[in-house]
Amino acid sequence: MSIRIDKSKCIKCRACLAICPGDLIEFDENLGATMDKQQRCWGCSACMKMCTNGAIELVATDYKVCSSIIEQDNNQTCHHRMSTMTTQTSDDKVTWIITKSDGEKIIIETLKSESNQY
Amino acid sequence: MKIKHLETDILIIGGGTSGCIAAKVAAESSDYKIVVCDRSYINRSGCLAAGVNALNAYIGPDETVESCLSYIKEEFDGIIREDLVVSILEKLNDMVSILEDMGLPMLKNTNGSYAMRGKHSIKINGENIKPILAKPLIEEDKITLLEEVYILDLLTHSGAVVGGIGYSKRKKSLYIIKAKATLCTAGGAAGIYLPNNQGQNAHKMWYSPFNCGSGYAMGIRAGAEMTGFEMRFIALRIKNTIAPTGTIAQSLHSVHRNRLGEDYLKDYDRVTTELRLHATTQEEEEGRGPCYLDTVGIDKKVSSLLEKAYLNMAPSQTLDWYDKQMPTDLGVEITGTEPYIVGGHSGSGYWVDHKRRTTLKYLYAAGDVCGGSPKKYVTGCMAESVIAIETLIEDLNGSKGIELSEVSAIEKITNFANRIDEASPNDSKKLEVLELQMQKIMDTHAGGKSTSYRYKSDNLRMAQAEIISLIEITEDMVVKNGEVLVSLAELRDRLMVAMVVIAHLLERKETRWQCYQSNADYPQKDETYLCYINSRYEGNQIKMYHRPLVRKGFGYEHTN
Repeated sequence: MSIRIDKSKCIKCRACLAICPGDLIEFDENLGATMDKQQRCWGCSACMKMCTNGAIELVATDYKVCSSIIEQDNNQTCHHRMSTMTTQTSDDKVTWIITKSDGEKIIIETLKSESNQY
Repeated sequence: MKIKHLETDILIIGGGTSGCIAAKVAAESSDYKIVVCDRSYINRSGCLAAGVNALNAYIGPDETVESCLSYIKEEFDGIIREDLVVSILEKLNDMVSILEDMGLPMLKNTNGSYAMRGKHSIKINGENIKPILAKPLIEEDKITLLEEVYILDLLTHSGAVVGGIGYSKRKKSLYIIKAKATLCTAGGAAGIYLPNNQGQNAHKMWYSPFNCGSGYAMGIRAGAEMTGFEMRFIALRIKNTIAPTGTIAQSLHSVHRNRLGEDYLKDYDRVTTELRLHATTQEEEEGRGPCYLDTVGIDKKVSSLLEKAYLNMAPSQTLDWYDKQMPTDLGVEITGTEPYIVGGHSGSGYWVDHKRRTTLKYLYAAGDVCGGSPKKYVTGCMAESVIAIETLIEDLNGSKGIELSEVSAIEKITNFANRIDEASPNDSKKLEVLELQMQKIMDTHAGGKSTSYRYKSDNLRMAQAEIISLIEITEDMVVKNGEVLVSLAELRDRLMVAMVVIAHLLERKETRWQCYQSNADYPQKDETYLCYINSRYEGNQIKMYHRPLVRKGFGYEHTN
C-alpha cells in the first residue's frame, strides 16, 4: 500500500516534495519526483492530492508491488495489473479515480464542503 | 555541517494538531516571538495527514462533563488524572467551534446541531483538517516556521529547558534554538513493536509511523518524569490496511462475528474499547478467528457513503475494497494492531501539573506526548494545548526567565557534528536491521501481538538486556550523511521509549487492562497498583515511582 510515481507523467513541478509527512520524496533533474522508500510510506496520499497531472498513484497490494520494485530498479515503468488510485483536486472537490486490476475505472467525488455521512 | 543559531521567546516542538493550535493561540494572545519546528511539512505533518472523518471527543446534547469523565474513567479502570481530563472536557466543545470557524465542514441536523456518531463523536469532512489547522502558522508574522527540522535533544541550563537542538537533512544544518520557554507537542511513538504488516507494507500502520517517540525521548534524556508507559494503546483495525473500524461499527452498528458466524460480544454487559480488542484477540487465540464486522447485505447506497467516509481518512481502505471484495459481499476482517505509546488515546507521557508544566522548568507538554489524560483525540489534544500555551505565556509574563546569552550548546553541537563522517560506509541498511531487531524483541518478549499482548517478567528482563545492547551499538555509530543521521536519531528515540516501556511493564505487578498491559505472572488486578506508575531517567538508570491517584477538583502541583 504505497505510492508509485509515473515518470512519464511527472511535470517536475515539485508540488509533491514539500508535503510528505515522512519527507520521503526526492527530486532528480532528469527523472522528476522519485520515491524509493516504499516500505516507509504510510499511504496517506497527501502527495497524490498535490499532483495536478495524475502522476502519483496509490497502489493496492503489497505482494504485487514487490515485483514492480524489481522492474523499477531497471528504470522501467511497471505494467503489472494491480488496482491503483489517483486523484484530481479542485477548489471544491476531490475526484478519486480507481483503476481496478481488470481495467475497470471507478470515479468517486467527495465535495470539500460536504461532511462525511458516517 | 552548517550551524544556525536562533533565539526566540517560545519554542513549539511539533507542528501537528497540538502544535498548530498552540502557535495560533500564542500569536493571537501575546507579542512573544514564536518558533515552530516540524520534522516534515506543516500542511500534512502529524497524525492527520490523510484526514479524519469524525471528531471523537465532543460532549453531545445528552452528555455532561461528569458523564464523560465517568466514561473515560471506566474505559481506563480508574488510572486517569481526573484533574487533567476534566480541564480538557470543559474546553472540548469550544475547540469544535474553533475548528468550524477555521473552515472545517461539519454535518448538521435540521435543527442546526452537530450530527452525532455514537455518544461522543461528530461527523465532519476532515480530509482537509490539517491544512486548515496549519494555515494560521503560514500566514502569521509572529511565527517562524521551521519545516523539515528534527529536534534531536532539548537544551538545558541550570535545571531548566532553554530550547532545542535540531537537524535538517535537506539544508544539512544543525539548528541551535534558544528559547525562554518550550512546549513539546511532538506526538507519541509508533514502530516500537513489530508492525502487523511487513516488507513493502511495513508502515501501513494505525498511528503515524513518522512519530518515533522523539517527544518522549528528548524529555526522558533531560530527566523529565514520565507516567503510564505501561498503558499501551492497541487499536482494533481492519486487516491489511489497518484502517479504522469505528466508522463501520458505530454508524452501521455492524455485529462483530467470528469464523463460526457467532456474535462474540453479545454476552458482555458493557463493552469497552479494551474489551472489544480483548474479545477479538481471544477469538483468534482460541481458533475461532478470523473475526469480522458483518457488513454483508448492507445497502449499496450505504456502501457508497462508506467508501466516501474512508476516502476522507484512510483512502487505502476504499481502494482495497475495489481491489478485492466490497463490504456488501464480504464482512470486513478485523484484528488488533501492534502496541503503540500514545497519550492521546491511552495515558502515556509527560507527568505534568494541572496546568501542563512538566517536571522540568520551562518545559510544557500537550497532546499525544502528554500523559494522564486518555481519549483526548483531536479536540482534546487541542484543548490541552490551549491550556499548556496559556500557562507558558502566564509564566513568561511573570518572570524574566533564563538569560539566554548564558546558555552554551557547544557540548551538544560537538556531539552531533562528530556523528557525521562522509568517509564512513552508508549505514542505512544496518539501521533498518537494528530497527527490525528492536521491534522483534519487543514483539516476542515485551507483550507484542505474537503473544496476544501478554508478557512475563523473565522475558521482559531478557528484552531489557537486548534493548540495552542495541542502544550500545547505536551510541557509537558514525554515519555517512545527514539523512542517515535522522534515521539514527529516530532509532535512538525509539530505543529509549522501548526501555521505559519495559521498565513500566515490569513495575506494574498486576494485570490492570487486558491486552494494553497483560502481565502473565500477575493475571489479576491488585488494588495496591491503583496508582500511577511513573519513571525518571537519572544517571543512566530508570527510577520508578508510584504516585497516588489525583481526583477531580484537585489541581495537582509538582512537589518533588
